[in-house]
Amino acid sequence: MKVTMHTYNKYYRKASLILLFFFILLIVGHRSSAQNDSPLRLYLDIMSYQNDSGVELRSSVRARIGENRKILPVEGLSIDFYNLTDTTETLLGSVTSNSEGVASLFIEGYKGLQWDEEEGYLFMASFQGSDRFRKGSKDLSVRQAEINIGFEEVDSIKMISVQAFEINPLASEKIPLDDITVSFYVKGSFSLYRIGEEDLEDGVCAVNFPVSLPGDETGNLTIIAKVEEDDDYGYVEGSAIKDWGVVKLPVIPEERRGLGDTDAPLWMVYTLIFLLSAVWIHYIYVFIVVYLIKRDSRAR
Amino acid sequence: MKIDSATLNALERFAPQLNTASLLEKVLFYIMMVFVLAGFPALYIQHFEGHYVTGMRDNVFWGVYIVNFIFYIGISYAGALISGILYLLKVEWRKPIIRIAEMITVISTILGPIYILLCMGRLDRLHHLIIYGRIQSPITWDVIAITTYLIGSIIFLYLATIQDFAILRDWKGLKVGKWRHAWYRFFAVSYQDTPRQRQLVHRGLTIMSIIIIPLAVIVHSVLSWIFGMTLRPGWHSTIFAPYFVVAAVFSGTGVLIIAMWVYRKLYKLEDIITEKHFRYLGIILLVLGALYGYFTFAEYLTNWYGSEKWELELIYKLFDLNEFGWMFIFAAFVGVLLPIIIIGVPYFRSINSISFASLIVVVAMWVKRYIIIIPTLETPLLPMQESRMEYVHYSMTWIEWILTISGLAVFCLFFYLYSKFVPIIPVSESADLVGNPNGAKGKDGDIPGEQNKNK
Repeated sequence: MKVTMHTYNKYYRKASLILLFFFILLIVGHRSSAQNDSPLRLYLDIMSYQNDSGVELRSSVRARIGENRKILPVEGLSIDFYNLTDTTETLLGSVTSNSEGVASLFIEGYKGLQWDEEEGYLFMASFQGSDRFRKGSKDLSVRQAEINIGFEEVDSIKMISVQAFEINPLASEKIPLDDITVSFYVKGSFSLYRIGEEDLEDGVCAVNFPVSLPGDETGNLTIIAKVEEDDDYGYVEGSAIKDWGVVKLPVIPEERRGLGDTDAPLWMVYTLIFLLSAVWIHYIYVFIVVYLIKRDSRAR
Repeated sequence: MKIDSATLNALERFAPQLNTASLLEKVLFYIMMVFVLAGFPALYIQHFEGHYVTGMRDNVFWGVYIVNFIFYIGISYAGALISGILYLLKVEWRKPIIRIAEMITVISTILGPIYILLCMGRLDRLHHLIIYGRIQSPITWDVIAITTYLIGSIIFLYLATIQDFAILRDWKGLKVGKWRHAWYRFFAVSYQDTPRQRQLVHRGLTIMSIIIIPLAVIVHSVLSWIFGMTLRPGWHSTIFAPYFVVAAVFSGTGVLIIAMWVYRKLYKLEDIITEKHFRYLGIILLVLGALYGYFTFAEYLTNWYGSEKWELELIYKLFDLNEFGWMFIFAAFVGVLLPIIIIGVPYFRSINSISFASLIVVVAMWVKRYIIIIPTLETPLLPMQESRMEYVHYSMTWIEWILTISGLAVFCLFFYLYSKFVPIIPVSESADLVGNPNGAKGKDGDIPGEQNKNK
């Protein structure tokens, strides 16, 4: 076939267009892959858990990661916890998030925390940013609260009562909490058993105690009262031990003899003794035979 | 002790075996010594470098050493069973071969556990087996059973040899060193061949023959339970104990026939160990081969039909020619069918062909032990975390090869040395076999002892 200049130019244009198309694909691909390399947005949250001995700050860290872009916990990020005032930022500590994406810091007895008259305690959880994740922070204001548990028994009816206060550490005054729900639990071996809930009135509420709960050897139970997810106080918890449970006598495990125990099953021991005895009695008899052979020669 | 003329004839015949060595014997002896000595550097390297020099790893934690252990304990079984049963049944043709069978038992029962020591990572903790051993553990059962079995086998061999020790002690024509005479004196325990002493020896042998048979069955069953009690594919089987017992007698009979063939050639015993011995043992081998084939078929058919995930995975590995397929074909088909054909068809049946069939059986049974252990360990119930090939698949290293060959050389060497200490044919029992010129020149296939008896 004769190739003219015109045909040549036509093929040349087509080839150029194809090359241009691949070049554009390359650039787009590169840009999209470059986008994938940019730091990911972090979802940071902070909660407070108050109890008799102090306050625990718990920050959860999550991000859209993996091929499905699901929001998943992020492990191994260093989270800084701050106590804020209008003018200062005090670093309380840095904690690395665990496999569930949670970093928690416990401050015993609220020591060293700055109180703000209007906001209460102001906290911040912050991540400084890395190659993989963008920096982020979250604030939390919490007012200090306290729950005290009391026990009453009137005409065989057992009651658990609660007194809940807000505490102003500067004025050393206790303000009764009002219109807040308190949940009551008994601590079990693996989880909490809910026994009721009641709203606070002038800082006080009470629930009936179920009489049939099993306690330990002395009948002791751990009673827990909780304010949960309150806007002002977060989580507040109080606990007390009371011997209102049914006495659970300790079960002395029967000494077992089995494959997994220190001592072998008796049938196995007897079988072994029987078999070995049966064999060794015959061996001993043969030794006696050899001795008798020797003695017979001596006698002669 | 008076030695009668027939016994003297036998002694004259066997004396060269005890105090001289032919050129062939010397050559074989040095070859064996070379292999034995080659084991020492390998042992040294393994001891100081650790088990990393072997093919054993985290997943495949048992290798060829355990294969050898089971193999040797297996062949020991035939000696005990054949000598025990034939003695109890007072079978006349047993006489020339009974000592060979007993020697196989003792030597292989000594050698087998040595491979367990080679397999152990912490030999310094060996005594923990005694101190911390639990009766529930099949390992403890094994230690107790094999120790008891070894002692029983030694007693049996000793009792069967006591009369020969006395004959050798009192025979003036034996030209051996003083130390050897001292040993004969020691082992003969003043035996004078009185009717009372003969009766005592006979009673002891009868008791040991009775006790050694169930003992051997128990020992090999216990050995199988090391695997059978484990919840692993290919191991956890209710028929493992009888399967192991049959495989043990099968391989042991093969070794006995090979040993007979070797000694027949080495010490020119063609007139004493005749074709009839090979034929009879060949028939035993044939029956055992059929039984073993039946067990093999039943075992794999049940597992395959059950289609349990891990069992199937194991079976496919055994059938896969790129994995263990050739070994499986050899152990399950060639090692069973070929000996059956060779021995079963009269046209093929001869001393050499029966010995060759026995050799195939012995090698096949070794391979069988290999495919019992290694494929199962390469098929764990939990997925392996390790991806390095040497961790996933086991392969023997040169250290293991040398120690395996060295062990075989030790086995042959012990056998040879014992035959230099005591006649390989029991003199006290077989004197009439040698003394009768008709017996010596009898028609091929006749048992000389039987001819004497008839006359």
